[in-house]
Amino acid sequence: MNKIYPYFNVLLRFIIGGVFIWACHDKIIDPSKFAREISNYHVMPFGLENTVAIILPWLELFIGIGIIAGIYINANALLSGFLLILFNILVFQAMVRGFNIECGCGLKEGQMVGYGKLFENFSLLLGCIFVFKTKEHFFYFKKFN
Amino acid sequence: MTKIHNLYVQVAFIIFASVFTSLLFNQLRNKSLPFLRAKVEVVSSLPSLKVKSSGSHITGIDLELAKKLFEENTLFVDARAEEFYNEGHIPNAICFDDFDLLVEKLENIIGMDDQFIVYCSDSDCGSSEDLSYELQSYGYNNILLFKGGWKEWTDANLIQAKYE
Repeated sequence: MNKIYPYFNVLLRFIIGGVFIWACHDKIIDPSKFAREISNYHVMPFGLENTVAIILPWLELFIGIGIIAGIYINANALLSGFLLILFNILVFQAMVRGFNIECGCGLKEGQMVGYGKLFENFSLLLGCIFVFKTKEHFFYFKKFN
Repeated sequence: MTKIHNLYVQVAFIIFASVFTSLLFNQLRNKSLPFLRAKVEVVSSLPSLKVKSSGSHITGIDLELAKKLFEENTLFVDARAEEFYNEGHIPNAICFDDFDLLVEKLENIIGMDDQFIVYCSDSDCGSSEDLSYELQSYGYNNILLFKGGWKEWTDANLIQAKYE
């Protein structure tokens, strides 16, 4: 079983990294649309939606590339896990407040907030925890870990 | 190259690199996004409407002005899903889930410079704003946003239509 772990770990890294890279693509191209989607959550003060819309997609891109390429794997797994928890809190508060809004996740056009999204993020979070907990990595840059 | 061992230093490095790259990219792009988002300005009188929507600016209107423009037969575009539109909408408003179909319909009834109003369910929904900006990017440059939307309209007991 232990022999499979490193390969499973790499597979998870590719899935998590792939999702993050895919998710940031549209947001980097059109940050103003992403800012409006953030605004729909009604949680950002002082019009800071734009600042988040400028920075967050790039953070997702760096995490995605880093986790796939094997650069600072644990740091990237930690950051992605933190972001996924944050996303779930935002989605959950929107659901509780009765906002029927697009999640602005960048994965699928028109994807709404809901239990499906919470489950999706939670599954990825479990993957991040697995990657973070793995002691021995495979396919990575030794120099950058 | 010095290896960064500490996990938290690595996290800080990734965040710093992302922030630096994003700010640089934003400055270099053609239409850089301001750091703070401007709220949609809601006006209640016609003279201010001489300014057409341009760039990233959309003008919001209040209920009184929406009512006045409705009486002047200004076109309303319902940004909600067709399902909700069918349950009730502002009379003569148009609604399409498909953006291309909506644009096709708009092209048949109004010109790019003609004024029309976009609304959605209430002031908390963002779909009217999203649709306004999408239509603006398409070339329509006289778009008004009725922020109060369907809720404010029905709360005021104004005339309503249902899908027959």
